[in-house]
Amino acid sequence: MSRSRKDHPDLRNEAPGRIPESLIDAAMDGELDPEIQKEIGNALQYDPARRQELHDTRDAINALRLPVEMPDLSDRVLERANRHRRFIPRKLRAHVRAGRVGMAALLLVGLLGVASLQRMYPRLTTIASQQTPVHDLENAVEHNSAQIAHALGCEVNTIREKVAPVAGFFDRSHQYPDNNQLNYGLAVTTASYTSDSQPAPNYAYSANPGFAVIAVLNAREQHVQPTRSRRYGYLHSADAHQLVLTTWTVDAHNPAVTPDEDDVPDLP
Amino acid sequence: MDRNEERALIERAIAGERIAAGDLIRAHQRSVYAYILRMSGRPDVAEDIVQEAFVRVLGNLHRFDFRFRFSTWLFTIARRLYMNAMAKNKPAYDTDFVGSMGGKGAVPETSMYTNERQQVQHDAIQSALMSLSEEQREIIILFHQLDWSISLIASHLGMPEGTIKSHLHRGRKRLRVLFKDNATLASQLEGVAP
Repeated sequence: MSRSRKDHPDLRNEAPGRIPESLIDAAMDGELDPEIQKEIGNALQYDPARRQELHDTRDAINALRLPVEMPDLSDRVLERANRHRRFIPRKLRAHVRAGRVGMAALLLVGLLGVASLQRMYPRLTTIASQQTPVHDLENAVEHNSAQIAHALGCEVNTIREKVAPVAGFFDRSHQYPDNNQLNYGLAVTTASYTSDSQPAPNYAYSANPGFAVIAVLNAREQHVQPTRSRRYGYLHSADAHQLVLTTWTVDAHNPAVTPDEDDVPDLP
Repeated sequence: MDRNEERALIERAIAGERIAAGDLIRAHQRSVYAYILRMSGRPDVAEDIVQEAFVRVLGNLHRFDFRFRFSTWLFTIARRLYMNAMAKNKPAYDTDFVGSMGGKGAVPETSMYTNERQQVQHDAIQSALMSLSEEQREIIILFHQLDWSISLIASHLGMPEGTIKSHLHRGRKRLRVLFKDNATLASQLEGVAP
């Protein structure tokens, strides 16, 4: 069922003889002069529909203005507020304020004192770990190196003492009577000489013609045995498997070290 | 309470007078409570927000600018708290409470009939308010319940005055219809004249 043009709510509001709704709104907003409001009041006598609407609006607003029951929240609020910021008398608050300022000043003076001390004695007041100066490190390294060198020197001397008794066995100068330049040398090394195919250790002695005995420390015994069967040279465990001796002939005309393959006597 | 009295009270509260702070709370708690209660329809929410608003106000009282109204400042804080609470967890409309809050003790020397009638009206107006949009509801409450001017509402909500009027007129028209329907229905159910 379609509404007639006359029944449409917007058109009803604009019907002749009706008080415009905007005027009623303006009156309720308090924007009209008292005289105009009085005229509207008179006109409402002839517009019962608008009067009813206004009456209903007033009822709603009055209901809105009905007092609301509520508990007194002041004590609860003050209790909560007191936890954050205590309510104390004015004089006491002045003392509290002065105390706070004093503490702040003390803190500031303390910080300035620490700053001054730090400037005068940087290492005294620095809490964090300090970097070690380079010269300290240098001294420590030198000290350690000296200790290590001393210990090594002792070890080498001990080894030399152990090797000295067997040195005489290798004196073969009598086998080379024509070569007065033949001499005898003994070298001690801690290098691991584990393979007969490896080149001989490069000793200063090797540049001198003659017969060289090289003591190789820490050579493994299991490697010594197969090497012994060859003729490259003689390896022998002189002191268990800790010390291995080998002989080399150094030719005066060919200073490179070559294994003595031909005529090497058996070791004792 | 005029503004000079209010200023003296605030200054005493700033100085640390607990009694003055209590008086300041009692002078304003009802209006801000009613505002939040009408907005939320929840008395528990209203109580929490009012307490929190006053705690914050008292904690920052020394920053209050006396050129402005204290109530406006308080309502701004309460409104912000309410909006935050709404954003986190929208409170459901508590119909049981609205049915039981019928102005006991608020209007003394009233008959049983008057109390029942007021209860019907409380129910009807709260239901009608909750059916309005948030803006319409707030503007109607501020204008008709708390008697704020349109310009003050506009500055409080940060809207142009024309927008405030538009919301006010539409909301009022809708409130009228809803309130009448609700009141008639409620009175028919309870047998009380609307």
